[in-house]
Amino acid sequence: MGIILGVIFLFPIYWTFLTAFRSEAEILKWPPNLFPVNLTVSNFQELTSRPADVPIFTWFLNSSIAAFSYATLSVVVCVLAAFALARLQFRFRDFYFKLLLASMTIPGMILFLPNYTTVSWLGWTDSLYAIILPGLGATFGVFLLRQFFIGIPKDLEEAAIIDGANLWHRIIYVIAPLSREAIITLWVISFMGNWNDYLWPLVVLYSPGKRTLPVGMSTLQGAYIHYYGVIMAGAIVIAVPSIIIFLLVQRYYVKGINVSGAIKE
Amino acid sequence: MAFAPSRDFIYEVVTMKRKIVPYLLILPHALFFGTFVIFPIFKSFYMSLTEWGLFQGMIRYVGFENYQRLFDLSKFRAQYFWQAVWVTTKFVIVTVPALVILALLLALLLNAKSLKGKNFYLTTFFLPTSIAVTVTAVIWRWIFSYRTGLVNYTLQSLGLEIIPWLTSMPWAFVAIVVTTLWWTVGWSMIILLGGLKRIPDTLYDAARVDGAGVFQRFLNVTLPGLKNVMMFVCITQALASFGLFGQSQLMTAGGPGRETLPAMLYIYNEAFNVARPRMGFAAAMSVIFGAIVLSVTFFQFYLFTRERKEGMRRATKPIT
Repeated sequence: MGIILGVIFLFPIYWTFLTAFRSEAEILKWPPNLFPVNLTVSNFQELTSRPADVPIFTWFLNSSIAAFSYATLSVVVCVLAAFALARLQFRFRDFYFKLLLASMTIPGMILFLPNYTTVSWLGWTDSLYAIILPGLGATFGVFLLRQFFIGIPKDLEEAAIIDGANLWHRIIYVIAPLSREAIITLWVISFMGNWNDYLWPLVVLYSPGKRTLPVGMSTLQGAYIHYYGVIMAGAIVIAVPSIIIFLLVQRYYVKGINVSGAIKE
Repeated sequence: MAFAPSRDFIYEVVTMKRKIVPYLLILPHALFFGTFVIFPIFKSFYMSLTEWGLFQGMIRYVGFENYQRLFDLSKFRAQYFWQAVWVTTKFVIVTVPALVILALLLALLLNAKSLKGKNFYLTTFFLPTSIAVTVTAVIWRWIFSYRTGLVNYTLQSLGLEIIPWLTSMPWAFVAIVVTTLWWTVGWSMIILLGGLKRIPDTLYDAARVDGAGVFQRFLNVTLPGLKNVMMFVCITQALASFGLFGQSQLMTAGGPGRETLPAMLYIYNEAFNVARPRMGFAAAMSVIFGAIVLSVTFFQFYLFTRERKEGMRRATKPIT
């Protein structure tokens, strides 16, 4: 039972790899050959041969910069906000927290048109700012970290305060190291979300050289509409980094999703 | 010394600083949250009341004209919109139960004590969620392709008629559903698995002592124990399915005809129409569609919490 399901789930990925490493003639052969024979890298050569309209390396670089910056900034922004919400007393604390909670019911579809006009007014369209910055308003990370920070015993911080620690010391030397797992989780989820995002980059990026990989993929599909080998080679270039990161940090990822499930309980 | 601050002054500065610090910490998040989550709610209402071109200075207030056009079913754009809403609704009605049931089966499988190589299966089922929608869509477009696709190859070797998956109904819809199941089922599975692990073993033991069989244990222990997690999964899954966009755009381009063209794709097409962008009209559509999605969310929430409230009422009712 498990094995059959496993094969069904993995087969499309296996098939993608196989197609990417096959010549056009081999791909169109009927019946198809299900085993890895007659492999070639010609599709990858083709993929890198049109830097003007299919600049795959530039897309790769754009995606990496955007996802890395977004994940890192998101962690910083969320740690600060979550620390204030979990540990400090101030007048609008509960109001802000309730506002965050309420905002989760807003369907995302009503946000993308006004956000497009805002981003365009800020002059961020067709630049990576548009991919990195607007997402920093997301609420998930604040919830995740606040939940985690609340669980850290206060005694540790009190001991640090007695030793003369100020607020930054408390965050950097006490809270952050103790919540390393949650922080890595947030970083990974943010990275993957940004790396795989499609609709928003499609809307705000238009020059070929400014695109990120998922939008590039749809360009690629247009440019090589019937050349599945090249398209699959592109699919591999996009999918492999996220798959590798996923396999490396799956543990954290699973935990983070579960916390998001548990928050609602 | 020209300026020697008094103790009171220092005290005031220190308390002021202490008062301001929390706000400074919140500020970066609040800035982005306000600009890109709260402000756009109001702005989308405003936009829906205008004729809004893609560029600045092409904004004209038109009142409720956009909404009138959407409810005037003799106009083709109104028909297109409601057809797209219906396509999306069908997609939600099919995918949410399918995803929840499949995810639950996979989670039960992974939670079974007898299964060997748990981590391998967990990774396998969960892996597709790490792939971008564009990649998922091209992979499955290739698998479902008419002349060279694997699915048709399988059908043919079984002696069955081959099917033009992406260009005929209902198969185009089926193809999109299957793709979505493969892509996202791991997400719900992980959450449900977490829920299963939180159900204490003692409950199962107690049920077993009372003579409950496997099926009865599932009905009376597992399902009630999963209720909260189930609510979360259903609500987030419905939200995700209402947002259907990439699969349709890249696999079928909304076709055949407009049979698989979802609301988000239609809104996108109208807002960023190359010949004549209609941002205001699209904003009106997104407001109406958003209201539909929101009411479905609240309805689900009501369904899931209703019983609990009734139970509470019954429990707290004074005995007469």
